[in-house]
Amino acid sequence: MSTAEVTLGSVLVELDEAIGTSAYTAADVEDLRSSIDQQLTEAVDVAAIDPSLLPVRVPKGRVTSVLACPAKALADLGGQIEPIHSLRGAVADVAAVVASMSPRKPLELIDVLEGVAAIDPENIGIEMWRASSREEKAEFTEQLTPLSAAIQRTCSGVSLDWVVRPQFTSQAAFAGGRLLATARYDMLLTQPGRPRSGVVVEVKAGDAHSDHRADAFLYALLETLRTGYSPLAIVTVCTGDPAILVEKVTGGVLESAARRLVAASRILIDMVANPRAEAPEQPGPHCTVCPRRTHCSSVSLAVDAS
Amino acid sequence: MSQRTPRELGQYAQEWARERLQPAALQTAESRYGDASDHERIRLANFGLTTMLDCEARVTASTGFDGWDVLKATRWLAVRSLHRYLSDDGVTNVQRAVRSTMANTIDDAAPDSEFIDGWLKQQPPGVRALLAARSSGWVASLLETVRDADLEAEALKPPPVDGPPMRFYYPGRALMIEARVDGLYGRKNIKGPSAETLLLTVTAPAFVDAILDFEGTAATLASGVAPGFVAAVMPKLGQVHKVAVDTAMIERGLALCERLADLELRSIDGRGATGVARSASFFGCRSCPLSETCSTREEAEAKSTVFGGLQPNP
Repeated sequence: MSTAEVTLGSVLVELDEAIGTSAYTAADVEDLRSSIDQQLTEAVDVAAIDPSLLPVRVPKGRVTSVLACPAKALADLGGQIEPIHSLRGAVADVAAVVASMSPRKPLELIDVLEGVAAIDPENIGIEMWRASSREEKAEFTEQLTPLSAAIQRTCSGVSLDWVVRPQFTSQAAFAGGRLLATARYDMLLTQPGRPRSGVVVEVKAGDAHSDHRADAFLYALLETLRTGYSPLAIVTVCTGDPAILVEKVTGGVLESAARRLVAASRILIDMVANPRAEAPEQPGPHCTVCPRRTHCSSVSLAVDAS
Repeated sequence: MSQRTPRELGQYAQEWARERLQPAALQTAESRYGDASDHERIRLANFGLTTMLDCEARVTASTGFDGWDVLKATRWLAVRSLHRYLSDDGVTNVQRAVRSTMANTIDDAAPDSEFIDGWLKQQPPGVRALLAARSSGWVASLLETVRDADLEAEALKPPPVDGPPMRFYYPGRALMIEARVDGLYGRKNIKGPSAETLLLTVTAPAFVDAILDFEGTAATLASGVAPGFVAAVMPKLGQVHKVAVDTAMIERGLALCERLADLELRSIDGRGATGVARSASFFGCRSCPLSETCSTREEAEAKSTVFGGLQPNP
């Protein structure tokens, strides 16, 4: 199969053959859950957090951000995403869902935007669209139409045997409910009546990035903990080349994600327990887009290293 | 005291409800529920309950049904699609069940968007596709969670969408309690231990116990026979939380009904939110009609809980 012909539908046909073949057993899942729980229970016990601040929330995005740099993660909390980026992300997400529902023909951008407005009326991108002039709308349409078309093309060909769950939230509670890890997948696909057929799909409005792989691992872990068995794969759909990346879920993937989750949770537990303590800085490529870059001592280290 | 049979528990619940809810019922119109105007009647149902559990004051500002949207339409379509999927009319695919349910609804649609069929017909293709995806996902979540919880999925039965609704009408007054059931499971028994289980999808696990108390009580009041169990299906967590319906649950459920009825009355008799407990939440406050004047909201925004206890770093 050439790269140009790969669609979500063709990826699912290949994955269909792997349903029920995972070597990761239910006992392995329970061992993993209990290992994470034990480590996080100890960490929460030691921290003695103010009960009004429980549960400690560990959303997927915060795992990535605190492991990169805790100080930047805190600085980013108050920030807002650019409206056009928000709109691009929402258009890509909705385009992927409608294409996966096997429509007779691809939808026009305006239909995709109607979908965004219906499910996310407060999206700052939609508000910007509504407030824009005719000329601005034409400019946005020119930018967003190729994105919507590309994502719809890539997500086409999905058989009706697969059920698409858009914006599916998965949660895993640890330490007796005192720590809650969460992730929202852009799509979760399963075949009702066929256990162990889960495929998590993440949609990106741009090129693939190395962080996406770590995110995929975490999705795999949370889906495994939610259902008691590992998903078939984590599929990332993007506008780059290749447009689809498939990450098969192995024991190594799950254990790596568990280590990252525990490490990030420990940092977050410390931050919640000691709100006045200075969050550690960690120089890296992210310094270039950090709101603290004008006054952070680590920026110069990052520049030196580069 | 020996344990009550399902029938005896149903009778106990109805007698107890008539007594406990009398003060609230007497404030409503002396007529059938359907004959009273919105300002003279009280409907106690899931939405009011979850609002109350989140913030009592918000119930007093409730403006009632404010039209259809994707969220409300998703469950409406999903429950009927589940009905079609589980019935014997040959639709064995969840996606096809949702599509045919939507197509039939639109075919028979009235022109008025006040009703679901008319509203659906007016939606553009993108919204309909999303709605179909969300509804089929809802059905699949229910089926999978039931299966993974080792309940026998093949014993799942659809809720009574076309049959008599699960409602309890207070005799002679415009007060109604409505149960919300997404599926039924197991055999009913009226004289001895009943295996009948009412299933409902719960997306707010923090309130699951109170929701089950309310729904178990409402269903018992509606049919006059207690189900054996009520079970919350929680797809986000992949869990089913199943509890027995007993006298203690009915009493807790009626206490919730009593409190909710008083709060609903406040929006009718002008007492408003004065002296009512307020509780701020990030999403609840955003859609609350009281938010402009609510001091709790201001306090909540100043508190660090918005980011799960983390303080933005300068």
